Amino acid sequence: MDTSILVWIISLPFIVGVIALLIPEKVKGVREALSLTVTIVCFIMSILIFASKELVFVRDWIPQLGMNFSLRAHPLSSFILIFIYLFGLLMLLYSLRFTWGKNRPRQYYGYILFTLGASSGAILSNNLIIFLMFWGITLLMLYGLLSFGTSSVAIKALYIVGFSDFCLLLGIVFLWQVTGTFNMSNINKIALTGGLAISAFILMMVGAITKAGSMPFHTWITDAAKETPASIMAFLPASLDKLLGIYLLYRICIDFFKFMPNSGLAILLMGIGSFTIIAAIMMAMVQTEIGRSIAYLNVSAAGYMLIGLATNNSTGIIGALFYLLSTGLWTACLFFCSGTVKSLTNTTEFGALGGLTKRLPITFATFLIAGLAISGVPPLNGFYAKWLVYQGIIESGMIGIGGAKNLWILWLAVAVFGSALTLAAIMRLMHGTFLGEPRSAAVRGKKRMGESFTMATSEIILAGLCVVFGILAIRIPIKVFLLPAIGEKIFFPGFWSPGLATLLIIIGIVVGGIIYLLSRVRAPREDISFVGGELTTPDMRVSGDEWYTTVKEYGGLRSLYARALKGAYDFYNWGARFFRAVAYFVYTFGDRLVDYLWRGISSIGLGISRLIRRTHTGVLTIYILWIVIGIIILLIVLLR
Amino acid sequence: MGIYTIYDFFLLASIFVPLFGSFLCLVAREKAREVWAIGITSISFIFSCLLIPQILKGYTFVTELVPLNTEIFNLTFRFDTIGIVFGITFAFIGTIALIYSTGYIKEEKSEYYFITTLMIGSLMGVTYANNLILLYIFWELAAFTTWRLVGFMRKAEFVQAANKTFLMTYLGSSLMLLGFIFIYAQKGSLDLDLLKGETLQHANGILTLIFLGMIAKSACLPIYTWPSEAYPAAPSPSSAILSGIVSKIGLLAFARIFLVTFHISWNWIVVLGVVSSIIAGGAALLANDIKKIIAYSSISQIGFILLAFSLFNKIGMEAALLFVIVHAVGKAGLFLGAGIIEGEAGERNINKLGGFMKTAPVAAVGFLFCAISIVGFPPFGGFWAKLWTVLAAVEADHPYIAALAIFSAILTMLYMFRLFNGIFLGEGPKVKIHKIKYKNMMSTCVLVLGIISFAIGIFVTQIRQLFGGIF
Repeated sequence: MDTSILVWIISLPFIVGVIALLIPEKVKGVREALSLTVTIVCFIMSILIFASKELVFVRDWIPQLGMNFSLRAHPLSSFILIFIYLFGLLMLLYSLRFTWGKNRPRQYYGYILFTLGASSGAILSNNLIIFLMFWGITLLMLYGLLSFGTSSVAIKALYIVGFSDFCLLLGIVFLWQVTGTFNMSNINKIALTGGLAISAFILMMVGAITKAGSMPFHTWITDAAKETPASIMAFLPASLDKLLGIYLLYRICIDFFKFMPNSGLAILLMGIGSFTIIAAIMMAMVQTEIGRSIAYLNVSAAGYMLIGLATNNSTGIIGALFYLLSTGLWTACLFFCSGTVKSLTNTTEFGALGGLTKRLPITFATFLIAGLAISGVPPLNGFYAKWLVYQGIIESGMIGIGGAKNLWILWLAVAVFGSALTLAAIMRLMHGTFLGEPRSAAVRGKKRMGESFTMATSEIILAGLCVVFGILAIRIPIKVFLLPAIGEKIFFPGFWSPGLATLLIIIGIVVGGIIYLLSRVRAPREDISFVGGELTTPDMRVSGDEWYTTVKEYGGLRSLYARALKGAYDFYNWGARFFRAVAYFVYTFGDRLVDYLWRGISSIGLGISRLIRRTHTGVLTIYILWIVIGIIILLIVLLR
Repeated sequence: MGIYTIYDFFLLASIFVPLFGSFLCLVAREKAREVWAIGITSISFIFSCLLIPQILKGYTFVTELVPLNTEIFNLTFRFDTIGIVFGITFAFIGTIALIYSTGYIKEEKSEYYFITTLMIGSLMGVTYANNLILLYIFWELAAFTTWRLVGFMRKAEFVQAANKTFLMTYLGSSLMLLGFIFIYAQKGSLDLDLLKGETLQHANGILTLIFLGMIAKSACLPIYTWPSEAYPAAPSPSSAILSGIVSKIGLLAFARIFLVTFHISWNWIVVLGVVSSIIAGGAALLANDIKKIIAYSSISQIGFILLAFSLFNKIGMEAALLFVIVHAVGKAGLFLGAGIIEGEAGERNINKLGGFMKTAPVAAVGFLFCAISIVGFPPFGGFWAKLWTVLAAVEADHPYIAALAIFSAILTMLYMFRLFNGIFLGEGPKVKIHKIKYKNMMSTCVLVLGIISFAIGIFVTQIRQLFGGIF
């Protein structure tokens, strides 16, 4: 295939993005149609690229500095490309009828298309500098898109991700010093010895995990979740940023460096991953709002991917990549559903929702499927992704030396425990959003709320993919995408066979149904509740979700939660305080001190001139005295 | 020296047309004066641009206005890579600032245009001067005009800031003159051609004196406390010129005298550059006055450029030259944008501003582009400049310096977006909006500078071709 397709798939979204920015606001429909068309075209192109195994495109750019415009499509990058455009497509489809926050449609569509172009550029580039350039553009677009919510969150995201981008830049430059090249395919398994290589690894890792939304660089995601339009949340932090971040982390850990399992750096990564899983999920359980709750679930998912990659064996890596795809699917689905709920009820607070199961049946069903998938209920994709990560952790315990390899038990326990808590968080989310009696009059008044066709379609596609990727886990995602991506042929999946399991589950349900039908179950009797002589009205009923928040009251956790909810553990606040402290320090001891010294010098000068002024008081005798002294000095000099 | 070629003419005209033409601003009438001022600076710009094909061919030359044949002083001008980069930048920013001034300056117009064009002429002179005494004369002319422009508004505190500026830069330049005298005493000449590659006795001492003069002009640690008072005091277009181009001539002299002529750079200058950059960055993070933030930012970025120059390798030189262009364009855009906001709001404290995206969207876009470029996000021009600086630092085996430079870049990001968010985003505007007469024209100036900041990043390869023959 002609390699210029790689250039087209990057440049087309940019070109159409500029057009979308230029079309006047009054013209409606053209912008949407153009964006959808170009995304479909790019989606097809990405499939073509994937089909043609490996493509390389190189143009000289600044060859003297080793910066060439070099693009390379290999199985890993091209399968991620497919998913970038898939998510882009669904997002644009969803946006057609989505009105929340779309007061600036020109910028909305322009930024989305720029983001798509820049992300595909970052994924395809084979030169670290080109990579950095596209990576940086996605940051600016993130700032633009988040400003559809609140500007204070947009700047927070910009600060956090910008910080990590500068770390990444420094890491890339260090890596260049170690290897002497920016060409990504020439950098292969650098030994992690020496300060420069290790700092390069850590700096690049910071860049990657920030993009992936892992702790401790995650707070902008959760802060943005409430105010930012759900389509943007589903698009950027939930799917695209994860794809980019984990892609980079994969390249760092597996390709660029000789990253040993159970080494110090692996333990660091594992530690960050497991902390992310637990801490994020604990926070997800006590949220009172849909968006933030999903955002914390999304952050928690990053932990599994980090752990999977840190095992550095093929099962774990496939697990991480599978988790990556699955997370994109279910988080985007959950955010879409929350967007639907918000646009129909105008709120996302649990306290004002409930009773939506019958009123929003498609949204409820897709939400349920995505929720079960994220909690790892078989046979959905989440279960298999978690299974692979667990297998990877166990395998990593078998290699390596010293006591470090025994830590696998800890990582496994954390991962499993986190998975259980995820289910709890999802149950609470379901309770709070859909189940129970309606808690607001606006909802109570309506029997059905009209779900828009396009919005429901995107939700159904995502939920459907969760099911398909679960049941046909080995046949579709793993055999088609993941095995070629990591360049392995053989795959040991453990003893879990999703097809058989699905069959067994279906048989179980069918048998249960038969038993239900055959046995004589009496029709349930509906009656008015009678509590202590008082008749209950709908507003007196209590929803089940409050129960989960009691975790806040547990002895050991109470103060932790109280502080965490106030943002005391927000890395961003710590960073802001650090930079302010540095600023005060350098301002006081650098700027002001130097200024003070110069003022001192000038006042010394003034003091001297004041002294000399005393000798010119205008009194004649003093001048005569000076003249006499002058003549005496002259005489001494001349007659010497 | 016999017949002038057309290129000699271009070179000499780009200096002397604004220099002598400035006097006509004093006598010309309203309107004609503005047109004349813009005309002579744009002629300077066009003539400098016409010299670009020569530099791409790798052709440099020295020309003499009138043969004097003295040892100490000759009216010789040189044309080379460094000259063309600085010269085009100076003339271009000068022209844009003058166009902007036609809407901004309301009183003392004849003096304003005279001083500003005289300053641009003197800067062109510094850029191309090939004789150290000639350079010194233009240098002091620039100092005098700076003093006048800073105190242009005549308020007591502004005049004080102007005096401080003049005294501090004069202290530096008198030391520099002392250094020149020592050089003359040893070598018997002050022509840069003749001095090239010579080794001086007591070179460290003599060159340190000259270096002090440079950093006084360019505002680098330790002689750098004047811009934070001077730039806010000056009218906005003058701040743009002062920060965007006048502060560059110290760096120009550093490149000319240290790197090209004597092939000397010291490691402590590297450290000085990055420390100065961080200190000013920290100060900018704490300031609340728009213009004060931008002024501190200038010092910070100049430290960065000095760092890039002083690394003394090819990437560093290219980075520094690119950064000079990027910073001049970006900083001029920021000051001009600040001028619009100041005019509209009558207020410069960012805590009291906010929401100006609604009232000044064009200026906001230009301002944002300039800010992004200065911060160094891709694909804007500043990204390449900062990337190459860090590359050069690592290549010169200074990984710690590279890390400190990144720290300074992060500080830049923090205060720049704090500034942008504070002015343009959020609720508001909370203050009373005054009507500005020529707002569209002024906003367009800012937008043009913003778009150029962007274009520099896109066409970085083409710009880089200019830097072919630095050494």
